Amino acid sequence: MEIPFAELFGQINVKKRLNFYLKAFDKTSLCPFLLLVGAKGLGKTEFARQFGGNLKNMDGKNRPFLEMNCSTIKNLEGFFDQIFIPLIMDSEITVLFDEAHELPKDVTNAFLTIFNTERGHTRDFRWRDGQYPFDFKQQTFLFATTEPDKLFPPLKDRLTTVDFEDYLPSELAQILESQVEGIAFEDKALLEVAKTSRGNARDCVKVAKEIQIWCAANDTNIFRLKDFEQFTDDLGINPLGVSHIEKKLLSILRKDGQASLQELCAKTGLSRTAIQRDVELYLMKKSLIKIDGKRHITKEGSDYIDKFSPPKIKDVKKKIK
Amino acid sequence: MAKVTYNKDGTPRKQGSGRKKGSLSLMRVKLSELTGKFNPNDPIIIGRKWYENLFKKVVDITPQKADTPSAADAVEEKIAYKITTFK
Repeated sequence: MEIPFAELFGQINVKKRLNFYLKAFDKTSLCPFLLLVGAKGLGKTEFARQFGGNLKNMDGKNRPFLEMNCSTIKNLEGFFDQIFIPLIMDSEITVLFDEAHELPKDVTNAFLTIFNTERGHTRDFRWRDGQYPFDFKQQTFLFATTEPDKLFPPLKDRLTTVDFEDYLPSELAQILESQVEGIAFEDKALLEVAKTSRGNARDCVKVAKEIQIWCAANDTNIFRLKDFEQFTDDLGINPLGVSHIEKKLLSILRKDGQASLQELCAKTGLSRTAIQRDVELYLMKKSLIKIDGKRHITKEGSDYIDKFSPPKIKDVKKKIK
Repeated sequence: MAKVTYNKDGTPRKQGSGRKKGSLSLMRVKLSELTGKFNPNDPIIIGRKWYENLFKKVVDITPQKADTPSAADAVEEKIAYKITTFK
């Protein structure tokens, strides 16, 4: 890899910081214990992989990259027996602890000692009858999480946080285009499709696959704005990537003007937590609703519903009369 | 004066009731004597306690769990990881 992160779009600040750490690593063979933080689908794991791919061993060869999901680590014994001794000890390797907030308590406590920010690049961790040597010139440790608030604060203090941001529609458009082969996009269509990805690169890749299939099914290799309308209609995708339940909530607020959370629970059949966590957040992010005790629809929200909700039959009949 | 004992319902027990010392309702016989007299499916009357002591406890005993972890547990404790090597 000549230029680090050249294949990845967006996340300018993340790239800058990681490039800085790569440069520092070239000179010192050391890298801070990085904690990559961001919402799901922003590319934490992919950036970590590419970062790992740019770290070199003492002999100049590329370092292998070990990634594991922390929810599968059940205890410290399992970590040392299955991971540390066979894969990490005395090896030059980059290790990514994905979903770090899922680390069990005893492993977290051990990591407080191991990743303590004291001088020197080696650490001998003693546990039960064993001695486990860590050499941070040989081993680079990265962490990633979507829920930094669940990470044990003393462990978080020992790590250097790198925050991921939402992608801009233009960056999502670039990601989308890079994922679709043999199909030309009209600029406006590309941007509209990108907007349905909700600022999420992983969703964007999924939409790209669906466009590929849609184009194949419709015998076309050019995707125009009118195709976008047909595509979203065929796949039931709402503009701005608003989900059907979010749209339902918007419709309720459009009809009633305002509603309490309790009323919304009753009308949608969802729990309070589900509405607060899964439905309202994105609508607020897009300024379609606002909350000040009660839930209100904004002008943008009203316009959205008026524009994108089909009129009901009785309303049409009224107009005809 | 003889000591008064009481029935379960609280009334005094009549004198002379109960089993006399040495008077046994059960006797010891050889199993072969019984099997000679009965067919395998003939009903016979036996003491309930004796039956329960001999058979019921065996039925009630639950098999002890083996101390070794099951295959499912072993799979559950496996840590999932992936190693990527770059060229």
